Amino acid sequence: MNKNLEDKYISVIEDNINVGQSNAIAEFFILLAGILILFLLLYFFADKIGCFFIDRMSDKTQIQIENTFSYGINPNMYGKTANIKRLETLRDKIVPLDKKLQGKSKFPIYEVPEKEINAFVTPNGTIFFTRGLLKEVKDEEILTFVLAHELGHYAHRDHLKSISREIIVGLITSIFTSQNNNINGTLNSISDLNGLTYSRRQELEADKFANNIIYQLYGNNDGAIEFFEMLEKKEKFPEFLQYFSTHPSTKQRLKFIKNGR
Amino acid sequence: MNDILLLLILLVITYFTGTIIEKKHFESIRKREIALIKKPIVNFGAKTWNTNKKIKKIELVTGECVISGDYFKNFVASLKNLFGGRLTTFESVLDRGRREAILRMREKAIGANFIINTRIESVMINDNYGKESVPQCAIIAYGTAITYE
Amino acid sequence: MILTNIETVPGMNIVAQYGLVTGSTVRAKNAIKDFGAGLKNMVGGELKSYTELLSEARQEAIARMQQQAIKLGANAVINIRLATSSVTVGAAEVYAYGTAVKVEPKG
Repeated sequence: MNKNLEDKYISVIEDNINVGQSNAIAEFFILLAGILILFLLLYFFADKIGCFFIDRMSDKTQIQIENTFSYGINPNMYGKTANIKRLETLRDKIVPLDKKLQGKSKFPIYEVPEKEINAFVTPNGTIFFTRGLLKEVKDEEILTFVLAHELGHYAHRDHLKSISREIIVGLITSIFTSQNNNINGTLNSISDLNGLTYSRRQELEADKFANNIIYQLYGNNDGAIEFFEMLEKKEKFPEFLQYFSTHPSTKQRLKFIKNGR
Repeated sequence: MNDILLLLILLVITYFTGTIIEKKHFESIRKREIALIKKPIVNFGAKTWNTNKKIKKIELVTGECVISGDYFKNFVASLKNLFGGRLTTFESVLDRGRREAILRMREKAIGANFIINTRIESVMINDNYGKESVPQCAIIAYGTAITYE
Repeated sequence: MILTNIETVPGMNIVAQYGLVTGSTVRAKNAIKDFGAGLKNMVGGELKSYTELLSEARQEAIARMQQQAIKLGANAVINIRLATSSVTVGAAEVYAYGTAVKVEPKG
């Protein structure tokens, strides 16, 4: 075999033509960015579609849908502490103030034995306050504001909007990734991050709702401002991490409430 | 949140291990192929191949290899599968497997001058429908080794 | 370049052989086409997008094999075999191999 041919063989071996020349890590990031953009677009449109239908839904359908949610909560398990009784009287004051709250859920209130400061409402109108919040906050105006905020979410049907968005996104992703389990798992864990959260706009709307309520009850919104100032002091993480929290930054909300005065 | 963190850690680890293993493998394939340059293999059979030389030995030689891509490669490929196009990460895996199988066949034909009528077959040996499945490819190469007297 | 899947090139003499040349590729179609093919499965018939996918993959595999043959100075590839395997769902793998040879017209 001559030298020339040998060189040719070596060049063929080194050419490695059957392996596409591409940087796997660059490809990975480009693909991931593509998926994320598609996913965000999907979320955006699913949100729009969900809102469109939920906003036009009658109260009767809303109650029907809510009745299908059952959390199997045993009221005796949590007991009725003095705090809860106090919240219940506040609730009875708030509910008659807004038409959207009447004739629907009974809004039972429970205490969650957790340290962090939080309150949330479930799709069927059950309201939960954490023990941390009840320990920290004694002022009636602040408690009214928090309670009204959660009732605001309920009045705006934010929980139903979130659920409809999740259903639409889940349907579409499962159609296109049904044969591709690896991706399906990844998308599922990404949507876990989004969870049943509300958008910033929805949070601000609920703030506005609560603001109106305490104006009607007390004639001022000092309670709300006090609450946010307290939260601002307590906040540990920097503002750029706000994406991971479900609410808009406290600064933003404080500004919003102060402007609404 | 925890799931994503776990996934990221797994991806980073498998990227580095996979790259190191692949680099080493390609390097060894390259060396062995260059060493075997003088032992040609062809895939035509006896109809075309004829020689006046006396033949000492005829023998069936086979080489096989089962290879799989790492988690990172699999992940990138399944992302690419959504958009379509060439799945380069799998190409390198299959190329490595095939060349390894052929090399093993050639290395078995010690002292042979020629391997004729080579055939290469491959089959996927795990189900691709499982959640974390990484494709495994089994490759078998076979041919007839001919030694001149 | 002459490509055949028989052991000779009719009408030509093989004057030199350069050994096995190979070409392979793995390709996939996008998710929307996968979905369309899944729907088509219900009614049956030709899955056009997958036919297209397979032909693209085959062309590319053969082109890669030819490039190797050209590098070696061959002007024909004989006894070409095509093999396919399913790497993942919705992706096609085509592997083409043959013997690179130099041929000259008879006589």
